[in-house]
Amino acid sequence: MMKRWQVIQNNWHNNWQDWRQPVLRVGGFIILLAMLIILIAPGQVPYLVVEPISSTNWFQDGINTAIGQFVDWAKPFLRAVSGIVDQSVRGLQFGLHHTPWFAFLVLVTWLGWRLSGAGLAMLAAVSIFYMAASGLWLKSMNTLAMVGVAIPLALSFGFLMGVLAAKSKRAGRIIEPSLDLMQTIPTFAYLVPLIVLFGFGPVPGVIASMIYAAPPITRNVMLGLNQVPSELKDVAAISGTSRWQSFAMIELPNARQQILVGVNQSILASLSMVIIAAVIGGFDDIGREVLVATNKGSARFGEALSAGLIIVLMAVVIDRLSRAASMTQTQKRTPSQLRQGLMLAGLGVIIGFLAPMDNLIGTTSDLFRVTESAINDQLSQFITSYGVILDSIKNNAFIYVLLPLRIGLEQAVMPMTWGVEFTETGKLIYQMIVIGGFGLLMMRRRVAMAIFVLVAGYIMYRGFTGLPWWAVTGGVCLAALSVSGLRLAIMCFAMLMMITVFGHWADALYSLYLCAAAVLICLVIGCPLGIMAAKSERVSRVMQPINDTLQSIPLYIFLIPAVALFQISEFSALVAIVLYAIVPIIRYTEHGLRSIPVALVEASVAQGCNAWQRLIHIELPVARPSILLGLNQTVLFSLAMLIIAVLVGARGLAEQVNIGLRSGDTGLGLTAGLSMAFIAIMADRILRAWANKLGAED
Amino acid sequence: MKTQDRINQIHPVKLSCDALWKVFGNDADTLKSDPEWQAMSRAERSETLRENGYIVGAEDISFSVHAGELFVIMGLSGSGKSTVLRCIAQLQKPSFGHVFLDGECLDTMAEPALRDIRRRKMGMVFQNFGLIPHFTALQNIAFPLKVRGESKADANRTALAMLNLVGLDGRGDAYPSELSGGMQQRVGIARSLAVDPELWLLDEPFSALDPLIRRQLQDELIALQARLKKSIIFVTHDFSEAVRLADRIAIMRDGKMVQLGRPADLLLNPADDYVARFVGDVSRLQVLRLDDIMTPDSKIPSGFDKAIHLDSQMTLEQCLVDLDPKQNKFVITDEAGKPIGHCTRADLLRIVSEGASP
Repeated sequence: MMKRWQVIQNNWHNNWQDWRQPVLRVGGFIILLAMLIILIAPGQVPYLVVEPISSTNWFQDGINTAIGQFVDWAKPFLRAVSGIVDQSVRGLQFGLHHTPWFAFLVLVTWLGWRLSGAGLAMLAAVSIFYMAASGLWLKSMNTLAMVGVAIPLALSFGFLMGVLAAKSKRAGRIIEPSLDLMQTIPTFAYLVPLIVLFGFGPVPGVIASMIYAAPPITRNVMLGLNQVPSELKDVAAISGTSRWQSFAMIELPNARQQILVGVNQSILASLSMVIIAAVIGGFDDIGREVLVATNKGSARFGEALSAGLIIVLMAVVIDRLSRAASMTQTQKRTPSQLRQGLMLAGLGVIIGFLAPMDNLIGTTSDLFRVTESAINDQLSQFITSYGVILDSIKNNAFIYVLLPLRIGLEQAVMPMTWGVEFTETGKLIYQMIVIGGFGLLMMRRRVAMAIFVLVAGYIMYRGFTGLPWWAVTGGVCLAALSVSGLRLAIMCFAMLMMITVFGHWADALYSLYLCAAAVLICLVIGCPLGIMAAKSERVSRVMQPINDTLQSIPLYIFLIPAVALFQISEFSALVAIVLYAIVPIIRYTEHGLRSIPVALVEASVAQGCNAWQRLIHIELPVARPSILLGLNQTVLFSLAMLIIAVLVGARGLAEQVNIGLRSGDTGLGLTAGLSMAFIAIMADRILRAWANKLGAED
Repeated sequence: MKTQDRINQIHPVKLSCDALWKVFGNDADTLKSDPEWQAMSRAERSETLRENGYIVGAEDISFSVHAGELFVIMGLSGSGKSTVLRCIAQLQKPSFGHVFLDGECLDTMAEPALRDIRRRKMGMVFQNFGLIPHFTALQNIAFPLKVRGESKADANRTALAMLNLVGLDGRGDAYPSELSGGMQQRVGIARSLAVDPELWLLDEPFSALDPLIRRQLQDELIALQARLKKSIIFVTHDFSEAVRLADRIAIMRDGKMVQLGRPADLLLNPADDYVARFVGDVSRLQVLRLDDIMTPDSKIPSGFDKAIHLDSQMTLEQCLVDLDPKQNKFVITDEAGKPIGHCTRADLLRIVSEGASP
C-alpha cells in the first residue's frame, strides 16, 4: 500500500514535469500570436479586444446587501463595541487635554533619558516643545489618544493570533494567509466597511489601526516562538512542565527579543494607520490637519509642512522610545529610581500648571503662524518664478511618458500633444520594427528578449489600457507557471477572475499602468543610484540617512511637496509614489552588489575585465536575485502609496476605493480594495519566486 | 561468574526497551494498524521501509538497564543512538515497541502521568547543555523543582546543594552566557540531578567540550556515580569514553544494535569489523580486568601454590606495572579474597599483544 501511494505521487509529479514545458510554449505562442494580430490589424478581430464583463455591479451590490443585513442583525453588538472604543478614546483624550504640555514634556524626556540617554531625551524634549509651540497641541493629543487606544488593542490582538498560529498548525494555516491580506489590502479599503459597521468618528480609525498593526506583532510572535531552540523545549518536557508552564517560563521569555521587534513595528504601523484614518474625519486630529492643508495646495504649504513635521516627530520619538525600551534588558528598577521619576513628573505638573508656560506657547504659536506664512510666500514666489519649468516638467512627463503608457502611441501622438501626426506609414514602420525585432530575436533563440520586445512594443503602441484581458490573464498565469508552478498559476488565475467578477478590470488596468510607470521611473533612477552607492563609500554615506528618513516618515507626508509643486494631478501622484517606492530598489541593488563574493570580483579582474565589463557581465547578473527582491518591494510600496496618492489625483482602483469610502458604498470600496490586494499578492509571489529561482540557479 | 553479571542478577531491571522502532516519514504512525505490515518479519519491515524512502532511526532495539548500572549507547552520528535515548525519554514517541520504567509502560501513558514520572524519576543532560538563557545558573537548577510546585525557598535550597555537588559554589547568580562550556555542563548536570531522579539520561554530555575538560568531567561523573548509584543511560560517539565509563555498552549502526556487552566483551570478542575498528583504538591494558581474562576455577590448581593472589578488579596495566618480574603465575580472587580463577604472565602478554596488532 505504501508503494502504491508513492508510485502514484511520483507519476503525477513526473507527468507534470513533462507537461510544464509544452504548456508554457504553446500558451506563450498563442498569446504572442494573438497580440501580433491585434498589433497589425485590431479592426479585423474585435472579439479579441473586448472587455471581459462590461462593468457589472452585482457582486458589489451583493456585498452591500449582505453588510446591510449584518448591520441590522448585529446592531446591539456593534453599538457596544463602538461605544467602548469611543469612550476609551474620549477618556484618554480628556486626560491628555488636561495634562499640561510641560508635564508631558518632562515625563517623556525623563523616559527617554531612562531608556536611552541624553540624545533621546533631547529629541523628545524638542519634539514635544515643537508640538506645543506650533499651536497644534490639542490636535496632536487627539491623534495620540487614538494611538493610545489602538496600540494596546493591536498588540493584544496580534499577540493572541501569533500564539495561536505558532501553537496550532490548523490555526496557522488560516492565520498566515490572512496576514498577507491584512497587510496588502490598501489601508483605505479597511475603512469602508468599518465606517458602515461603526459609524463616523474615531472608532473605525482605531479598529482599522488594530487590524493593520496586528500582522507585524503576529509574525514576530510566530517567528520568536518557532525559533525557540528545540533543546530548550526538550528541557521543558523532561522537567515535566505542563504546556502552560513551558510556554510561560521557557518559550515566551526566549522569544522576548523577537516579539519586541514586532511590538516596535506594530506601534509604528498603528500610528501610520491612525493618521491615514483622518480621511474619515470627525475627530479633529493632526492627520486631518495635514490632509486639509495639503488639499489647499501651495497656498497652505507652510501649515501642511508644520503639521506634517509633527507626525514625523511623533513617529520618530515613539519609534526610538519603543526600540530603546526593547533594548533594555529586564533590569530591576530600584525604588529610588521610581521615586525620582515620580518627583520629576510631579515637578513638571506643578510647573505646567503655572500660567507663564501657556503664555509662552501663545507667543511662539504666533511666531509659527508668521513663519508658516513666510514659507507660503517663499513657495508661491518660487512657483511664480519657476512655474514655467515645473509646468514643462509636468507636461512633458505627461505627454511623452504617462499618456503613451496609458493609451499608447496610437492615440497619444496627435498634433495637439506631440505636434506631429502619427501617420499610417509611421504606424506601419513602428509595427515593422517591433515585429522585425521580435522575429530576429526569436531566430537567434533569445526568447526572453524577443518576448520583452513584443510586449513592450505592444504596450507602447496600444497602452496599458489597450491590453486585452485574456493576454494579461494568460501572461500572468504563464509567468507564475514558469517561475513557480501550477499552484501559483491557479492562484493567480483565481485572483484575476475575481477582479473581473468584481467588475474592476478596467480600473485594475489603470492602476497597473500608474504603478508600472512609477516602478519604471524607480528602476531607471534607483538602479544607477544603487550601483553608485555600492561603488562609492561616500555616495553610500550620503544616501543612507536619506533613505532611512524616506522609509520612516508616514506615507501622507510625501503628498505635501508633490502637491505644493505640481498641484493636484496624476503627475503629483506619480511623484509621491516614486519618492516613497524608490528606496527599496536603491537599497537592494546596493546590497546585492556589495555582497558579491570577493573571489568572484578578483577572478574577473584577473581575467582582465575593466570596471564596466565587470559590472555588466559579473556583478549585475550575480546580484539579480537581490535586485529582483528590491523590485518586489518597490512594486509593493508603490501599490501601498497608490491608495494614498488618490488624494492628490491618482485614478483607477484607488479612486474606486476612495469613492466607496466617501459614499459609504462598502461593496465598491471593498471589492476595489481586494482587487488591489490581489494585484499586490500576485506581484509579490511571482517576483519572489523568480528571485528564488534565479538564486537557486546561481 | 563475572562480577558484572553477578551485580545485574542482584539488581532489578530499572528500564527496558522492548523491540523499539522509530521511523521517520509522513505517515509512519499509520503503519501500526496495517495488517500487511503486521505480518512482516523484522528484515522485511526494514527493507520495505527503506525502499519507500522512510528513514529508520531505530530498528528493533531491545535491552534492559539494571538499577545502579551505567549503560552506554555508542555509535557514530546518524547511527540512531540519540533517537533511542529520546524515545526512552518520550521526547519522541516510538513508532513501534515499548519502553518500560519500573515495569510501567511509558509510551502508552497519559500525558499527566508521564509528566509526573518526569518530575520525580527522570533527569536528562543535553549535548548543548540546554540551559535556559534568561535564567541564572541557580534558577536553571531550581527550574524542575519549581515546575513540580516546590516553594521558592525549598527549590533554592536544593539547587544550592546541587550547585555545591558539581563544584560551582558561588557561581549561582551567573547567567549561562557568563560561564565556560565546562561550567555550563556542570549546571546542566546539577539541574538534571535536582529532582533526585532514579533514571539519569545523558545525551552526549561531554561532546561539546574540549578534551581536557571532557576527561575531568568523566572522572567527576565516575565519582558522582559511585556515590549516587543512579541508573544511567549515557549516549556518546566516543568509544574510549564509553569504555571508560560503561558497565555495559550497546553499539549502534544505521539504527541497528550491532553488539551489546561489557567493555571487555567488546574488546575480546568484537561482533564484526565495525566494532573491531573502534576496539583497535583503545588500550586493552587499561580496560581489561583480571576477571576478563582469567581461567575460571574456584580451586587453586597445582603449580599455583606459590602464585601471588590478585584482586579480580585489577586492570592489566596495574597488574603488569606493579608486579615483580619474576612472578609468572597469578591466582585471581574476589573482593572477599576467595580464589575464583587463575592466569599466567604468558596469558597476559598474549592478550595484550593481540590487541596491539589486530
